[in-house]
Amino acid sequence: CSDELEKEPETNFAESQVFTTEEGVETAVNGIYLAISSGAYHGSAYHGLVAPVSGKFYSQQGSSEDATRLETSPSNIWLVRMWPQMYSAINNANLVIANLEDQNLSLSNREAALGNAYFARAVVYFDLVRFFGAVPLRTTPVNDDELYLPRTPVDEVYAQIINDFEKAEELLPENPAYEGRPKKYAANAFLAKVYLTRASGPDGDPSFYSKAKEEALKVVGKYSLVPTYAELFDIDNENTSESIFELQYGHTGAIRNSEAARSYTPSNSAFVPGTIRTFGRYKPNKETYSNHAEQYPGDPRIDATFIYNSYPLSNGGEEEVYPVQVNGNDGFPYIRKYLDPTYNGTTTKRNFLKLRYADVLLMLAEIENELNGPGSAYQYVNQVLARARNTGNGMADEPADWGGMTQDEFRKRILKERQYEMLGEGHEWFDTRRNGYQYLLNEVVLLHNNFIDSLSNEYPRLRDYIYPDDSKNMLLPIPFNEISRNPEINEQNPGY
Amino acid sequence: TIIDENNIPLTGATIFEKGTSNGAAADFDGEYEITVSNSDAILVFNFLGYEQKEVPVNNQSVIDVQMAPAAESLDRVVVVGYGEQTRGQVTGSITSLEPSDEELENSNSVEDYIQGRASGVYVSSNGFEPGAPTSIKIRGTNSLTGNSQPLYVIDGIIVNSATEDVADPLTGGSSYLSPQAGITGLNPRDIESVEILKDASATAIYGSRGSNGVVIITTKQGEEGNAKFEFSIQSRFGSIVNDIDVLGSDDYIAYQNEYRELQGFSPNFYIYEDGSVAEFQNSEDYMIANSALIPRLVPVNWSDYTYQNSLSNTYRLSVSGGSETTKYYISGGYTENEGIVPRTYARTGDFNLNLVQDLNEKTKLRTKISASLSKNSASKGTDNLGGTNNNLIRNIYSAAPFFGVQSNRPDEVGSADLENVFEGPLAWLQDYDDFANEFRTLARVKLDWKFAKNFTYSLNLGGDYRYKDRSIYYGLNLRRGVEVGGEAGYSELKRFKYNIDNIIEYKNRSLKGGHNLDAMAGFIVDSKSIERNSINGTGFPLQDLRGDGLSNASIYQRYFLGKEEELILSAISRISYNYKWKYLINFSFRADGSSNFSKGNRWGYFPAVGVAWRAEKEKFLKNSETISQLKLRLGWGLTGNQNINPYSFFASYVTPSTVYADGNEAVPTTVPGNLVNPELTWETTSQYNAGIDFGILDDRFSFTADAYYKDIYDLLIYFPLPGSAGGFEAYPANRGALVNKGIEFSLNADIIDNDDFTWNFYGNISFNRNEVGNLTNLPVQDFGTERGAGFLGNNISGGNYFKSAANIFLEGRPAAVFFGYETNGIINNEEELANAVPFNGVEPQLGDVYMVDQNGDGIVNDQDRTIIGDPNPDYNFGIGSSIKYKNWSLNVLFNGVQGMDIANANLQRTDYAETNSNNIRPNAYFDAWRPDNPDAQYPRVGYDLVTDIDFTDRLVEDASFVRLSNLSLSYQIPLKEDSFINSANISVSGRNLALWTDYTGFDPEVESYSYDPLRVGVDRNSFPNQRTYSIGLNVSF
Repeated sequence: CSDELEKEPETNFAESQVFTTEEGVETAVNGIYLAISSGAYHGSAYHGLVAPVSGKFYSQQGSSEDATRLETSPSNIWLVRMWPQMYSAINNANLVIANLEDQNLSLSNREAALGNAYFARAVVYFDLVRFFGAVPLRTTPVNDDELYLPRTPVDEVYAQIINDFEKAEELLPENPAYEGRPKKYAANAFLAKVYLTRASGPDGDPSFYSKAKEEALKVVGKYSLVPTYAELFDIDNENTSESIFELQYGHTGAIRNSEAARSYTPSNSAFVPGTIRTFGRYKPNKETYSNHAEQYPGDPRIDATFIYNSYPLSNGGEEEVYPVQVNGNDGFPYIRKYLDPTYNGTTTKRNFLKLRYADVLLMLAEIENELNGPGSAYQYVNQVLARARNTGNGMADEPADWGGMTQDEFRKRILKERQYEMLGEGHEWFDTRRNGYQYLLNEVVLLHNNFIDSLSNEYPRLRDYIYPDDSKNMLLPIPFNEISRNPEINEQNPGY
Repeated sequence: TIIDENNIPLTGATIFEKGTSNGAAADFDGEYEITVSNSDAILVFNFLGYEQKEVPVNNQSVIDVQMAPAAESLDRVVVVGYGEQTRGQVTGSITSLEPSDEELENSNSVEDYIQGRASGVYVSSNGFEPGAPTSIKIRGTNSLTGNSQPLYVIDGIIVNSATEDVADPLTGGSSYLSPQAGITGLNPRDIESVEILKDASATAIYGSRGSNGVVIITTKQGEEGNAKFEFSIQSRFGSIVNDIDVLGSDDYIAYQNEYRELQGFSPNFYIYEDGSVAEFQNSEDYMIANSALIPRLVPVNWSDYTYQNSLSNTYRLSVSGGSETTKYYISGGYTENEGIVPRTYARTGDFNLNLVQDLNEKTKLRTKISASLSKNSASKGTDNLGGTNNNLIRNIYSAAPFFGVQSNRPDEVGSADLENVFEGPLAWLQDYDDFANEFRTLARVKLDWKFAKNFTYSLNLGGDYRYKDRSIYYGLNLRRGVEVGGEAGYSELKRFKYNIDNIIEYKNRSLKGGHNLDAMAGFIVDSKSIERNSINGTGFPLQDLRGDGLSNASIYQRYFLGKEEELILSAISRISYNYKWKYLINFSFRADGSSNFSKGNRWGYFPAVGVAWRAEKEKFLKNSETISQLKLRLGWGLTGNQNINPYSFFASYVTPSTVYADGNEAVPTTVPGNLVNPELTWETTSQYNAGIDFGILDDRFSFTADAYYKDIYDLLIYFPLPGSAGGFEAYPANRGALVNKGIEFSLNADIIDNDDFTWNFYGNISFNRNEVGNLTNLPVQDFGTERGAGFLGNNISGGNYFKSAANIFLEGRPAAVFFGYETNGIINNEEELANAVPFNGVEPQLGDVYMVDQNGDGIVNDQDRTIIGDPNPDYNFGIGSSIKYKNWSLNVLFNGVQGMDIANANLQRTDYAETNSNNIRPNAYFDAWRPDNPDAQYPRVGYDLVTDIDFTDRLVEDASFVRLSNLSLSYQIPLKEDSFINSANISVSGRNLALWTDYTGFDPEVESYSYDPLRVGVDRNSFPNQRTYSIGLNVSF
């Protein structure tokens, strides 16, 4: 009678069923990317937490208030959701790796699937280590014996990331069978970023610059800049030749897949169909806009990046915003990159560009400047600037090609340039942290505080915050329930 | 000489010559003399409580007789697991209840009836809305899985306990509906008796189902005789009690404008000279200049506006009767219950047939078929995990007390059609639907075959089918609805359970030498299969059909289909032996194999033994005039719990509700469905029980006391995991242990027992102490001021309020004690301010809540959390009495709980004069700290430091209470002997007539998460209770 007691789920698949066919394996790979794209990670939490805490954005949402003040609480709702979701993505990848490691498996997509799993795992750990520092490093599917892991030192986490990206480079195809899946060079692009991050800042190891360059050069020529900056954010023109890694979103149901469309699009605007509600929750800080506008007046990227001065309302009117309005909720510009005219109130088809080729060129410029000075670095940044000037109907004056800078000048400008080129694409936090606390203090905290202070004389009731001078903001706090539930972790990040 | 089984003379025994009136009686020494008519005469010996004995004279001149105690034919039969015993045979702890008609009439449900009537049983409610779940705990918290409810067995049908429900119709969205539950499908008026099996020696026969206790319900059967019709009708009227008082319109304006002023902002409201009120815009000059154009606000008391009197009507007809061989009981009825909130109701029609047929001398067939159909309409209750904005009751007490206020409208409802937009409570009343339909049928066929002397074989087939659907709709006046153009979801539950019991029973009362032996053995199959599905859609071009227009949605979510199956195969046996009904032993054994566990972990073995000594049968008490019963009982047994999601040991992949996309197209996606625990096995309870039953004056006064010790180990638990464990929220595991120990007493007294006048009094009281036992696998760590192995409970909410756990489970501490910050009033003066320290990095100021720095490190943070309350009651009790005088009868029942804390989560909103538009309790405003109110009990206006997230002892309240739960008076109408009507009875009754408590929420008898053992003792937007009065008529003919 024991057989009678052998019940198997009828409406779930057995793990073994998934990994016996090529189609099944693809569903599991999609499962990894789903976890990365899901609301709790890139869909919502990444925007709700990382944008404001970068110090370049303001959020009017209650659940982001602490992050907006740069006083992130370990119980911040986005943080509490994002951390487990990141490990969920890692576990999904670990399961694919564990199930496909057997080289005798006769599945034609085995290598590509493994490549995707290593790639995705490395992408997530790379985010984790930069957000939190030392984190639990899990490279096998979670099981009973290893429910609790201590934090692994940063160097070891990076070693694993590099190892994974190197494996991904080997295994990923040159031409993926599915749109939106990374090519092998995506691994090189990320490796370049990993080494650059390791090399940067007062605590960095400059010897990594040459490895960064080596990896970045492998990517050169494998992707190309699209002709104009604006078309990068054309909703009908996704997964372009410039896209290296892009998370895919579509109208696939009645459950919200991403907050981006409704959270960046100003409320009651004509950018979405009339009855659809958007919130305009996350907005660039005033200085974020002003710095760019002052640096490059007439830069076509400004129009493609920001909604400023005013925007059209769904009822035909106009709403005035920064810099026309300085006060209150309207005293901010908005980000234009997540507009979605197909937004239906629930799902957006707007993809998330995790890494694109312009980033690699800017990295190369930065690396080359560090290694050999500005002379040989201009060629890379100027490619990006030239494309930026292209309006589609001719060339704008700004941003003009670079030349004649000192190495130090170049170093400062290139970091700003990254903000102008990629604002709102999720790089601000990383770029303002990897160069050390002094950089964060100057380029975020003081820049912001001095700016709103100067406005405050005119407008005494600004709805904005003064950022603290606190080096805890080099990292995010570990979520409170990770610490309370994981006996192997007792230590919060410094300052929290 | 006539002697008993112990050779004691039986004084007063009677002797008759059979067939004649010739008789005599035994004297003090048991001796007798009788002269018989002839030598073939037969003598008949009788003595009360002994079996009659006949002896032929056969020319003897001295006939000595030893009489044997009567089999317990007069003793009450107690239904025990898979069989019956006489009360005297019982060695375990069993509470038997035989409800009177009046008691049943005044009970809405079985749980309702049990409350206050049985020692060791604690009933709490998830709210008082029709259809809200109720939870029963027997002898403390017994399990930390989702289901700690007792097993219900109705007429031999294993009925699942209450907590299963349909999948959330809005699958995977941010909707987290709380389950609706309860023992459905049984009308309390059909109950004949209820047996509550409390200790392991009684419940171990149910093995894996027994650890939470067992409630066996027997429904009414027909009796031989002419058809007897009974008709009853009852109407019940109710109204809200203990409403939460909040600021009236004028005070609310004062509060709002005060906090705005303190923030340096313009006021929220403007009061014109004529006293009319408007929302403030721009400037005072503007308000005056545009006075004619600016709409005025109309004050409203949302509570008065919303709550109505409830009305409930019950109609019921039953027919019973039978011949010598066939007995029937047929009943049916209809109950409609309209709640105190408009548009909420529960309507149930039910039917029940019990048939007992003697097929021949040796076989008996019992058949039961019952069915019920109910429709339920609920208001928006507390989300399981979400915030509390979406809650009707919360809206009633915290909405701005005006019509036409912007803040009462859903945030993002456009301004164009404001005139037509419902607001606050009104929107939730009018534009939210939660409908449920349930069909449930219970059926059973039982065949008893006496295939040999002393042997009976019985086959019992029980089936329980439950269908439920639930439909949810959010209209355009609700934020959630308007964001997506209306949202509707529909889900179904189809659940079928069956049990097959094969049992052979042996019963022998005539073994030589006073030995009595019962034995039984059997083989049981117990199976459950569940199917759940759900579908939801958004974007309705037309809203008119509301949820029923689901086909009209423009976007659909992936259809969900889930099936589960569970099978338990068991072998059971019981031996019940006694020597002269004096020394008794019951031994039982059950082996259970459950499909919920993997091979090797699947079988559980559950032995139990109980012994008893009936001292009243001993010489020294035998002839006692006063002591009629003195029974000592001892028992031990193992019981189990296998109640965890099936397939927890099986690694599975599922298709998630949202899939990945490629371009704009959905692509097939699978993700791991669970975190496997292949080692998962039975949770085991080892329970000791010692009891005494004491009765005097023929049991007119009876008293029972029991003491127990329960050690629950290998606890099955969904253990909260850190995020780094693969992102899984919880892990099904055997972790830790719980200890419950307690004593319970019950008393029954027929103080007066005459034909015309009876007065009965009963009472019970139970003390339970609970402790978290050895937590294996968990390291010792710090939790605030506490150090030890332990874990925190589940977070109360995922929204902005109470985003932390309320409970902690620490080795050596009571389970689920409250864990949070201790406070010390308000920082009222400079001296206190000097001593206060920063909380979470924010410097204190006058009027803040004084947070206690437990570790003295100069700051208050996570490390200063400590134990701030205990939701486990010290004791609970029930006291009742019934008085009958001629045609009048009066019943009264009080129940109460003492020494229990409740975390009143509602205070987070209502007890702080924060900086938002929520209305608050008057004291929070009037007694807020101000420079001129330096002895304040409440923080300053505008304080919002610990209001939202953190759990402080300001929320913990003593929830001890005593309630007059039931009072009824009935009158038997005198009828002529030859009347067509046999009897007629009118009754009036009241429920929840008085409540004595210091608790400031709606009702202290509350458990907002009764389905989640890791969230205990929390009141989060519970539904208010009502006081009801009813009038009823019962006629039989």
